[in-house]
Amino acid sequence: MRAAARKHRGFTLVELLVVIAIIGVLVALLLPAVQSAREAARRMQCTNHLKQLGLAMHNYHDTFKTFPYGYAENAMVTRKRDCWMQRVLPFMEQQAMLDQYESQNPIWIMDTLPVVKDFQVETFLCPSDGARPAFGDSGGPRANGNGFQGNYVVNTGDTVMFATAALRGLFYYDSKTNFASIVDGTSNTLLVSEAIRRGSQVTGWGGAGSYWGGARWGGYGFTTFEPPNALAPDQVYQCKLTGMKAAPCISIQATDDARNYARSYHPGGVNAALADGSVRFINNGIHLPTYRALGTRQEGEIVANF
Amino acid sequence: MNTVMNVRYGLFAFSILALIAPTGCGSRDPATAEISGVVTIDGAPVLDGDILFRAADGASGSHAGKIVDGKFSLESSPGAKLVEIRASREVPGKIDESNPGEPVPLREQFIPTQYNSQTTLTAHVQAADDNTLNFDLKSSS
Repeated sequence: MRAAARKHRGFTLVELLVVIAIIGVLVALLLPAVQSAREAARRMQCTNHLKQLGLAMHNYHDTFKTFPYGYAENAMVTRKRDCWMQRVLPFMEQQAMLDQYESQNPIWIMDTLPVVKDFQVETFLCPSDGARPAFGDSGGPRANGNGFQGNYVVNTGDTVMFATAALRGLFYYDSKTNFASIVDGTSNTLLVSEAIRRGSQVTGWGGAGSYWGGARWGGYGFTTFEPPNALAPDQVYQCKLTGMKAAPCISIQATDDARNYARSYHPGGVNAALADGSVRFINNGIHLPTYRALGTRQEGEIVANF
Repeated sequence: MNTVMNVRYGLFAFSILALIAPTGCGSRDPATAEISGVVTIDGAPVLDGDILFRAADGASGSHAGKIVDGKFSLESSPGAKLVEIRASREVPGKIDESNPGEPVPLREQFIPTQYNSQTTLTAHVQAADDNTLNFDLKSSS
């Protein structure tokens, strides 16, 4: 009879407290994990955009037997400062945008009408960079438009991004590289990576991703001179926003010393598409000589595992 | 007696949880050293500029800081460094038209290239906590 009474006794206060404590600890452990799952999802979408850009580049190459130029200016009669971004539009399901742009045919790309110039192409934006609308870094408002700015930039090599020199990467002034020129191997050469846009202000000039007029000052590409998310500042014609911890920058005006580095808000590194079309996460702590070797297309370095 | 056991178990479980919960995985920054100093050009302080310490062997990333009223201070990894110094000023009466049709006052980098893009300026950063490095630049060599 005593035993039966004990069976129905229920929980003691201590047992209850222990269970509550365990639940509390589990919640405390899980909540941050949920928050980082959101960032993981954004990073995944960002990776997907890079994959699509990689495929677009391959399809462009299949059609024209060469990669698009980094940017072009003097050789052009109209659409001066046209860059790779406009060239791959048809391969990103944006043929209509390219058609409208080419039928306007402005002498300078900055004078394209806002209906085209300001159009936000989602595939060129990394969701981890929350600054919307994505404008700026194209030398200020012009022709009533601010100029769309994207997050993706192409690989110019491992040196300073000299404005009109042939660089060691895949894209530069009037470049015409193709798969055959990637002597180091497509799996050992970077194609596209990402950068930070420094907010939505319409000022600034030459920051990474400034496709509508910033290309002349380095806005089309990045260099592997410094590691991803470098502590050293980007060097652009006119810095859009100074004092950003994640993306410091300095203004160098027309000095031929432009440097944009791969940057992101993902913890620990950046996403990058290699020339073979694969997308890899590149750690901030990557051995710098290895990272620079990834930036060059034909220097013959042996690339360690990364 | 059973209640006492329960309390014991409870306390035991609680203390283990209390021990485990606060331990996390921390990460330590690689060793850095403090650098501070003064930058002058022809004896006059560089009022507003930027300074960059780049690893001479190219094996690690650079560290940078701002120059304000001739003074700078920053944290850098130790070792042999190449130093780049940049500063710009407006050129009176000159116009820049890089954006066609939009003239703006021309600014120029007035530190000679042997101190920035073609730098020959070197420094050795000691792993000790405070390095004082002063640079006196010459505007013509």
